[in-house]
Amino acid sequence: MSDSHVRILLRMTALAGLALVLQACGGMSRSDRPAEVQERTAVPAPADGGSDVQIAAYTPPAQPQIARPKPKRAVSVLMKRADEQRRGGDLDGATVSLERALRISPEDAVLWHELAEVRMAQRQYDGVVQLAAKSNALAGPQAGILRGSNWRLIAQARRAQGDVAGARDAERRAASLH
Amino acid sequence: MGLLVLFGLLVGGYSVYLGKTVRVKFEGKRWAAPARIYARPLELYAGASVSAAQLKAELQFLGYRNLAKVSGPAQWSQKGGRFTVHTRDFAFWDGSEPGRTLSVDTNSSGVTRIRSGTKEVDLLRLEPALVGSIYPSHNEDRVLVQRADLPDDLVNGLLAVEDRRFFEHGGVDVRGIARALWANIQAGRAVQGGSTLTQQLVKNFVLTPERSLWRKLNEALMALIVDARYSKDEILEAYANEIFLGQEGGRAIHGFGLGAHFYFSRPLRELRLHESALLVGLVKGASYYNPRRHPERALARRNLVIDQMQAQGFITQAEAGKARQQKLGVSARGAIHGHRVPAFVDLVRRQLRRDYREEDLTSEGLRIFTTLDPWVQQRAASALSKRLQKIEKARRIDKGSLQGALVVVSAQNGEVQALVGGRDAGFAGFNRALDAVRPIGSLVKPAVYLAALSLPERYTLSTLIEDKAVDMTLRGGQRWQPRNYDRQLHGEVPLHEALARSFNLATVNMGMDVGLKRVVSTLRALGVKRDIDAFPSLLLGALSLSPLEVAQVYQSLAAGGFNSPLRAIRAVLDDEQEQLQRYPLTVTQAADPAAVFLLTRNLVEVTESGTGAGLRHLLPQGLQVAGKTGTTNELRDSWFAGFSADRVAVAWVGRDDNAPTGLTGSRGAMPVWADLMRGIDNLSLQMAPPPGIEYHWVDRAGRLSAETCEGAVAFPYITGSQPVERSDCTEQQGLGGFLEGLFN
Repeated sequence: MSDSHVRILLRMTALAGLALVLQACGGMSRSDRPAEVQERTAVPAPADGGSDVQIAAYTPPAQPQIARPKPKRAVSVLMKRADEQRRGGDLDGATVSLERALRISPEDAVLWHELAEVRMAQRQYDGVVQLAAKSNALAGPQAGILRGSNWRLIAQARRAQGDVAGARDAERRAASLH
Repeated sequence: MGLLVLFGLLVGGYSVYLGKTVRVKFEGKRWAAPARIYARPLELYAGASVSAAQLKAELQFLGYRNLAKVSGPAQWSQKGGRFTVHTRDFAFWDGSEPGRTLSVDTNSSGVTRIRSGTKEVDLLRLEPALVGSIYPSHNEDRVLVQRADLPDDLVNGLLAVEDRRFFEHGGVDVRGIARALWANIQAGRAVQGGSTLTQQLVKNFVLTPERSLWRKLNEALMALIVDARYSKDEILEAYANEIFLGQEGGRAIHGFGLGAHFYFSRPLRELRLHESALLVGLVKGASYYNPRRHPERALARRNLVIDQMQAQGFITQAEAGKARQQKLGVSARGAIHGHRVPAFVDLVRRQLRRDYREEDLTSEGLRIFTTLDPWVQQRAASALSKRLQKIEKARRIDKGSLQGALVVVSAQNGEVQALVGGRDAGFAGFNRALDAVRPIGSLVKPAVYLAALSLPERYTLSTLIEDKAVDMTLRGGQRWQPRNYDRQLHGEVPLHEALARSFNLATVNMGMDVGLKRVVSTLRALGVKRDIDAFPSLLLGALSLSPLEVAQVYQSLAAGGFNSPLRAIRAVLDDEQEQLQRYPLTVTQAADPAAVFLLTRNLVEVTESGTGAGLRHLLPQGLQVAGKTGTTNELRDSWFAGFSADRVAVAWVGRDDNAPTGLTGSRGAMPVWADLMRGIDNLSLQMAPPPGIEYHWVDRAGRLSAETCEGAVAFPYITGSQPVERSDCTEQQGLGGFLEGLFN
């Protein structure tokens, strides 16, 4: 492909990209994925006999198309059960219920937080810190309250482990989320 | 007189000796129950992505009958997308699931609604499929049954054919022997045996297969002892658990309990008349009447049992006639039910051996609940064997010379869903998924790039790195001059492109700058337990791992930098339903989630436009995945490791003799990986950034630019690490700034 061809292609895709961005601006929420890419060149078909390496700019789809509806009711049944078990002192039972819920909805930041709460009740402080961090990594930017609760859990666990400086740091982070 | 006393003493002493042998065998053996291994239970709820095809397969794994109308447990019917299923009761470690009739609606995206009568059911799980057992080294496998579990048809059949006066004789039946002889003479062939059930049991228990009068006498003496010491029901129960009913490879099928599973994929109590009759027929010669190998013989034998039952008044003429018309109804051997997952069972055994004694595993009747997903397992096995065949044919590679392994792991919790140890997944041979420890080649690169991206002040996705010649003298004076796969030098390239196109030289230059120590500790954190040599060649994958170990590394990446030790077992219960052990979910942060996010974005690029771009044509549209190809020297090992939002899979293709295959990672392992992922449900990577990520538009040289400038790409950066230098193209700054504000 000659340089001029590439330039024309780039301009065309840049225009298309601009249109896409403008369209996206209309109804894009903060958690939406940005349309990252403007450049697009033709990608040779990776035929079996072809080169092992294709050169092209990466163009992710604006929105992944395969998504599942959230199995809200199944998860809430298990969350409710876990809550009852925890309050009844059956911490192992609560763990089992939450793990089961996480198999159904593995990227649910609230479930990871709940599991951290159970670990706190079990005084397994390492687990608390890790699970709360996992919950934070999955919590969207709008989930300030959840992230605040996670940092407070981390602070509590660190304090219980004698890490006072770490606990203060976590408390500061929790406070900054309000 | 003296002689007589001596004889009496000898016989008496001998009887005492035999009695002791009988007791040891009878009472010891009765309780030896192998550990049972169960797959994961299928969770059903509105929104579950279980297709009609999968639900059908799952019900078949469980041995449920597909009937026009459902009238009892373990039956199902289907009408369009609506299934009616009557489940079996099942006691889980955390409560039991009652057997009930359910109506399950499915459409193309999965389960839409579940009802029991008119009541909505929010969540339920089917019983888990039995996928294996751990039996002792003498390879006897059995499912223990009690006297009460024995169906009347089965007991009546046994009485009719094997031992008519069982409840009357004292262990040996002289009249029975005479009658059997007469019946056989009349029929012109052996239709009845003269040995009582007790004698047959004793023969199985203790005696060698030699045929002699002495043995016959011994057998008779012991039968008398057994009959005197134990009740008829106890003898019948022992017989039902002891009888040899078949052979599969090195595994001997003992007892009617396992026989029912082995031949019909269902528990004994669910057998119908013609099925019980077949099992009774097998008593006479399990291999001669093997219904899978000699169906005509088996059918004739079964019908003879039915005839005898009718002749002796156990069943009516009408019942007999109906039973005779039934097909054999033996389940396919490919079913998941009977030990078709040896590689996974092997993994379970290895994990259990750390916590249990071998004799407890083989005799205590433990129930082991695993993470195996039989649906994924079936798809994985078929993806590997079919694709290897295709590759051999297309590339004129010797038929059968390629081997492979495939591991599927749940991304967020590290549960092993499937494990295929070779192209014949049902064959319990060399378990390549665990034991083929091979150099991982470029599969190591994500760890090298993660080590770099974890230093945001030095490396970002757009940082330019140098793809220039490497010439090093290693310790010991050896020279090392690695090359790129295309043998070219690419000069300054952005970091993301160097990984996407798997440039060796750029990787080595960057990796040496980052430091081998950092790369080693990154690999450790991601879950590599093996010794790692911190040589420069490590940067190009001079590290040997098994496919399962690779899966651990990629699980940590797929889970956003949180390592969960891979698990094959959820819980172990004893034979009284007491929980002995649970293997809980644990996570340990292995890397900064923000750095892992950048890397994942880069691994998506691999599959969209890099060395893995061929996936576009192999995967469903819109399924966004991340992955990496790997190829080792002279094309000996072909690897692909990658993940969707919910599953991690690792494929290896190579030869057992380690000879070159002529296949790169993208030509061997990658299509296997793609076939697997296409065949199962996957959630697309959503790429929601964790806290601490900002997007900025940059040009190819890695300078901040406006998004309308030619070649500008929006890259994610760890906050504060975005470039400061601006490109010349700034005419659309206003809009660019607006967009940046929107993303941050």
